[in-house]
Amino acid sequence: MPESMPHTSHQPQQAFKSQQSQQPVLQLEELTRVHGSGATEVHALRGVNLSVFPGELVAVMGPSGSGKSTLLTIAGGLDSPTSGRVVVEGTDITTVGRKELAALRRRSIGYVFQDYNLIPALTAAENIALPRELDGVSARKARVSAVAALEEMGLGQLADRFPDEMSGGQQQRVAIARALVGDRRLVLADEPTGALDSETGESVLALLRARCDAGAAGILVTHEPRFAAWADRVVFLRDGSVVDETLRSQADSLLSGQAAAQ
Amino acid sequence: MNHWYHSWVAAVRIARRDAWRFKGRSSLVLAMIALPILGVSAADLTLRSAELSTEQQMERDLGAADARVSDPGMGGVPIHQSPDGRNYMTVENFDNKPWPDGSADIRAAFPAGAKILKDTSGSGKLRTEHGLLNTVIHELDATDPMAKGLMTLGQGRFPDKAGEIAATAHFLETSGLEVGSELTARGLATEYRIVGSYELPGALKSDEVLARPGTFLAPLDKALKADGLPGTAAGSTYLVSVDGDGFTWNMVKKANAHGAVVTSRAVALAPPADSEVPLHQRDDWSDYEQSTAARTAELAAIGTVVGLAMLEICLLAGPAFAVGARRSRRQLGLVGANGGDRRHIRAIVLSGGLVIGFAAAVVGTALGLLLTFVLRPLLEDYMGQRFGSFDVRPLELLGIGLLAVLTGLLAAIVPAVTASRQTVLASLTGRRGVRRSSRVLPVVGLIATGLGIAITLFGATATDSIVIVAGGSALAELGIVALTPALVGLFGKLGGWLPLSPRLALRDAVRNRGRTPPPSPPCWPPWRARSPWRRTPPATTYSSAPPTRHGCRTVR
Ligand SMILES: Nc1ncnc2c1ncn2[C@@H]1O[C@H](COP(=O)(O)OP(=O)(O)OP(=O)(O)O)[C@@H](O)[C@H]1O
Ligand SMILES: [Mg+2]
Repeated sequence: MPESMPHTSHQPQQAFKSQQSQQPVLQLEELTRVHGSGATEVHALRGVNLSVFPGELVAVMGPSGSGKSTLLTIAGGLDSPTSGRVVVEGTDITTVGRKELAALRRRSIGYVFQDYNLIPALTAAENIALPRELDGVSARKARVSAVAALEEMGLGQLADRFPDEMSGGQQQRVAIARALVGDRRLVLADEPTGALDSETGESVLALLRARCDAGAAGILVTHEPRFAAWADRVVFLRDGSVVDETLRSQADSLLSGQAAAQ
Repeated sequence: MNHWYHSWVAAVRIARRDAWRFKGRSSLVLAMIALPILGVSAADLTLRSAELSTEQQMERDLGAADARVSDPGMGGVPIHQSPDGRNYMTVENFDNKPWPDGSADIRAAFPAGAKILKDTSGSGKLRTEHGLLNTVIHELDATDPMAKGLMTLGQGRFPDKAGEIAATAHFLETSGLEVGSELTARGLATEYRIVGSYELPGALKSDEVLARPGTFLAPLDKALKADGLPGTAAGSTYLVSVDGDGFTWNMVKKANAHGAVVTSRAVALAPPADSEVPLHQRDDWSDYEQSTAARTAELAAIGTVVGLAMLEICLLAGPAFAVGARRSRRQLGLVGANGGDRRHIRAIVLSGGLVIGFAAAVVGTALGLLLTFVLRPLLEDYMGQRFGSFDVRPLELLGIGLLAVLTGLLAAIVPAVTASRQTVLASLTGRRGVRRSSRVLPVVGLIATGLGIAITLFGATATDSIVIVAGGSALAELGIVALTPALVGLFGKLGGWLPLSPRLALRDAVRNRGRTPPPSPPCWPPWRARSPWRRTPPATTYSSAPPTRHGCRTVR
């Protein structure tokens, strides 16, 4: 897919003047990741640079095996890079210990995976409350803010339902709510719509978009160009390198051009 | 305020719901823990209920009387006795003289105006359906108000004239006779008709018949002696009722001056101070109550047995928790992705143990109570005595319940630590992390096993200590547990020649060594060890034999 695209729009630095006056929520610098060694060595990431600012949703696209998931796991501190820096809210997470990393995940970073995001033993509200409860906030307080978050997103009626009593789309929306509960404002979503039909997927992305408009920063990994269209920026990965980076306006035309080409 | 326990609240919530979601696995572990708890709580309840209060004990010993006066058979020389009447010695020192012998003038020992009921018993061989049965023959006017409480009437009535007897239910059972049967004793032609059955609440299993005073023992004794046979060896004690404050300590001391020993309800309920007990003031008196050393040894033994039992349960229940943690990997991974630290993951798996342990405590003690309640008649039969009352000790049951909780927690420790060591990513993706089998563990296991066996053998042969034996067994067992993964791996290598399905099973075991339970534990049952508390207590020069019901006591 990406190789068919014209390499014209390589000027993202210029485009974000307004945002660059703020600190990026996430900053990846010269990130590399090598899996295995010797004959089985895989270069999942080769020198990736990426910054995500508050209010921004960045889509990451690329063929299977291009390193998208690896990028997200390293950005969220679930995996460590072979070299390079990962700065979340001003902290270089490659240098902090296991405990601080866990604390950072509780307070700053939210994940949304393709499916089975919610802890089956907990209701929607309890799932959202969990990161704060683990942080030592009382169950009652954490629940109040969780229910408030659900209501703000129009999901109030789901509060006391268990994951197996919710549809896939509802589960994903609750997962997004959890990813941004409390002080968290970085959401890393790895194909959050992968298991949904496209209409439900749109509603999930609409929510993600709304949260970013409200000030969160997000990375969205997706295979679907129509979902990437919700992003401010699209980053194309191929064999672990960023091969292209476009603004949404350009991405829209690119994607429609691509659609026309097929 | 932020507190660590808030995260435990969340962990317990997850564990509780999970336990409920996987009912099968939970109930298996629950049963493993609850069963011994049921047994222990039922045993506690039974023993406590069988234990009598002083009032209850006195009722069984004295009936409705105030005291029982007995003659120690020392010719009426003055004596000193302990308040409970179990120990006594002569006032004078007879070390260099012949011991006094013969009966005392017991009537002189009774307080003026007291009501007296003579209580005599001896023994004889009675003819039953199955042959001769050596039986206690008891002579007492059971219809006297003073005798109330000594025996409980079952069927029929107590004898009210010569030629009638009542018999204990146990005697009827063993003899094959019944109320209405005729009965004779060997050596006496007289026939006695059984008119009722009764039981002795403190000795359900005693074979005894009851006749009116003078109607059985005397004729039988005479007939036996005439034939040159040993007599009935009858002896008497006296139930005494006095007006006023009962048989006071002062009255007891007066009776002692006439050579009689007294068991008094009033004294038992309010024992005199040591300074008022001449026996306790004597230089040559020492208290041979259970020594603290024996008590410590007993406690150590109980502790060891409980500890070993908990170890076994942990080893059996541990793999169940390991399987649970493996099954809920993704869930634990999600907790990790949401900022769950290692301690949070540990807390969740440990909470599984906590929740099940708690449930097992509740279920176990509740069933223990219920079963004891329902099976009370059977238990009383088994114990050979009626319960004083249904004696529930909340603190002891709480302690027993805590043992269940502790067991659950202990069983979950290893799975909890293992689960917390997994990286979040490995848990989420279901990838197995690279896991080297430890090289240290088998060596440690081997050493522990060897050492444990050595200690056990040493303990069993060279010492008397159950603690050493049990400690050695526990060590050897833990050693074998540590060796298990290595052993399973070894068998896996040897398994190539097996047919397909056992080979697959073996390979599965090899790949999941953590949840493969250890082989059946090596058992050196603690009761094999020679136990220190069974040794006979130090001999005393005083009679400290428990009083027979009718108080015939002899001094060595
Ligand atoms: N734990 C691992 N061990 C070895 N190789 C790995 C591991 N994780 C990822 N890889 C490799 O790294 C490369 C990038 O994988 P990654 O999962 O990031 O791809 P992706 O872009 O998310 O693909 P997809 O679109 O299929 O999800 C792949 O070649 C993959 O095989
Ligand atoms: Mg992926």
